[in-house]
Amino acid sequence: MSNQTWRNTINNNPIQQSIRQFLAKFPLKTHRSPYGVRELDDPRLYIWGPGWKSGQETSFDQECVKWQTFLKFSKSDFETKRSNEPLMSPSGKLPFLILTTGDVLVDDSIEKHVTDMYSDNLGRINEQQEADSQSFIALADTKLRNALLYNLWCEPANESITYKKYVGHYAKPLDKLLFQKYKKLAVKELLTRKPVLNKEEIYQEADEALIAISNALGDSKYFFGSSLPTFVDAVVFSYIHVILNIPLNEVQVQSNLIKYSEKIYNEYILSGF
Amino acid sequence: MDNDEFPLRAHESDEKAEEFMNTNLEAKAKKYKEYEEAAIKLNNLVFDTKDCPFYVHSFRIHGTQKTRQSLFESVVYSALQARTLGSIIDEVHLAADKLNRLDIFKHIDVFLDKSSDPLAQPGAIDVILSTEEKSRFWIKTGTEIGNDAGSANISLNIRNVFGGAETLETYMSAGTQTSYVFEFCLAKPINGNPDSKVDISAYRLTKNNQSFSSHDEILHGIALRWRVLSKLGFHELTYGTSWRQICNIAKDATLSIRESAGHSLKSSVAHTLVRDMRDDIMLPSRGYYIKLFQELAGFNGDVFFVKNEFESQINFPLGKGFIFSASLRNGLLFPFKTQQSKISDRFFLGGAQSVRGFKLNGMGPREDKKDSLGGDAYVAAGVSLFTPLPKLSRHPVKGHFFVNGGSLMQINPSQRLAVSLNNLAKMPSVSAGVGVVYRSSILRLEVNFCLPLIATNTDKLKKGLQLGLGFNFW
Repeated sequence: MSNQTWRNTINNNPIQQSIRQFLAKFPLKTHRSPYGVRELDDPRLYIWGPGWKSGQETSFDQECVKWQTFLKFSKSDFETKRSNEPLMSPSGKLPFLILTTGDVLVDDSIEKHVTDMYSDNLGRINEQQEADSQSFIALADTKLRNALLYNLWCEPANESITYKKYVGHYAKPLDKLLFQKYKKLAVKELLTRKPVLNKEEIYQEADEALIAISNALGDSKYFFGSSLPTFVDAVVFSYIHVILNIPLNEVQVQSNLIKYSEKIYNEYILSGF
Repeated sequence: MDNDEFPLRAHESDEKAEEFMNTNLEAKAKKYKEYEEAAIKLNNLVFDTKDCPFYVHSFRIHGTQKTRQSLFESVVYSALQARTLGSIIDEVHLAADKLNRLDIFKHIDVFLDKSSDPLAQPGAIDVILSTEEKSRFWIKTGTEIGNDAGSANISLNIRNVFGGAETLETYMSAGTQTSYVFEFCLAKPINGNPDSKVDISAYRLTKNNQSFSSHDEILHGIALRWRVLSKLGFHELTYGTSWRQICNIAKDATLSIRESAGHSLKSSVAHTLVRDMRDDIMLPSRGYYIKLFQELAGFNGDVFFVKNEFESQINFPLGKGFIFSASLRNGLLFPFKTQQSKISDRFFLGGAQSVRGFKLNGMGPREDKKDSLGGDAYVAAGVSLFTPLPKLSRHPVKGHFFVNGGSLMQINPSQRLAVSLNNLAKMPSVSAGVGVVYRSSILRLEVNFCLPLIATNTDKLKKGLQLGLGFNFW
């Protein structure tokens, strides 16, 4: 309090005030900057791209496809930009979303933003289904993700295509350096869930997870018979879409899941671009 | 001087001491006279015989342990070619001076003598250099202040690594906000010439640019340099490759800064010429300074540009302690093969050491109030008048009046270069002010009251008092 009054006395000192008034007259002349303020018209999602197959607007990276799809589900206006540079992201990973306000969102904050603003376009599920949905997401994010990471980063046959997609745009020898760095990160992540990286076991578990997911989906359009897609659909679609498009796929995808992913692709992704 | 006769016992009579002093002084004077005469005689002798044919019969060097013979061979080569006494003395003197400046010996004493070799021809001279090598390891610590930041550094050095006057330096520096540096450098004089050195270095550097541009930059690089002194000045020719990472983008960074994040590899050759004729680096009173810098990037890697920079300063003493100083700087970065230059390569302008009245790197292109984006072309100029201060004329303190200004722009690759450069002249930011300058033994301190006269609406102004601490001021 006394500090405040002390400061006020200083600031209201007549000499101080007249100095301030004098300084306010400067600069005497002001140019207008030729550089306009850059503002986004729409939120922008920075992703890895382009996709595995030519003409695909979906990213080759599962995380990017997930958020792309979820934003598409919500029918919110957004544009995607293939930046291929994870250092741009606050989390060090792509994707991230920049809102027109300038806020930068990653992961859960994107989900929160979408569910807060556009919940009308998303399916509604009850508490029980919400719990089930969380377990399917966890299943996909462990078993399917293991298989995907192993396929991309640990299969010698896939090294060249993974290299081309993730680091091919860098100058030599940064490409090799960064490839090793990303590979190390992927292996490190795998080792947090699997003490020993056994190829057969990893693919086997992914096959089992896909069977469970396929059974849960059944013949319905979306999970839990919802008429509109929910977050779990974005997650499952992203894995199946990437698995189906990787040149050297090692896991079995059930026919109902293939149909499901084609439908979502045609209805939400293709129509939107 | 021999002091054996000096009465050591203090209780002996004063007279005796006085007598001793007198005779001693006389003896001293006599000895000096003898020396003088001998020196004149020697001088005359040398002068008379300077054109007589002599040659160096042998060159002996005492006191070396690690230094290789080949180093001496290259240093004394021209002395061995000399054929008159005068030129032998000159060349030996030059060689001793070179050895001295290689910084590997504590002292070098030269003796010339008539050759003692019975087989020697008439006119043969033996040259004996007696030396003592400096210790091999040394550590240096220091602090640096400048551009709103301080840093502490330490360097570990190994002298005369392979016996050819090579130096190996490991340098570390950590700063309050600006940077973290680690450098490893091996330097070698060419042909034993201390004015011509090649060095190879590997470094890692972290720059914290958060305060004006919301990012950090991490550099890893290697460079091969050749530094040489010529009649024009000091040259440095560098071939280097560096991996630059723009990272740790602040949460509220400008969009363009966020989009400039990433890795790039620059491979370039650069030439720097510095001609510094000033009487002092920090607060000169006379002389001029010119620096020219050219860089061509794009040998491999993904950065392609031509960069030119010119810096100049001239100082005149006006008498009675008044000094006039003027400076002019400009730079041009011209990217090719790519749409836009990288932020790591661009110029920044503004600050107490650059253009007063503006914040550190607070001028030039920016999208909103926050981040400086840097520019591809700049011009900056300033004039200063330093005045003596009453009662302080004996101290390195001066009054200071200045007007300085500058302009920094991006080059739009779709426009013609002339149009971009025209904008540079049209929109200068100018400020004027008055203050006090103090030059201490290690840095220059300035306190100025600054008034921006002309500015661009996006410039970050520093109205009123501005403090400057550092070595290099414009």
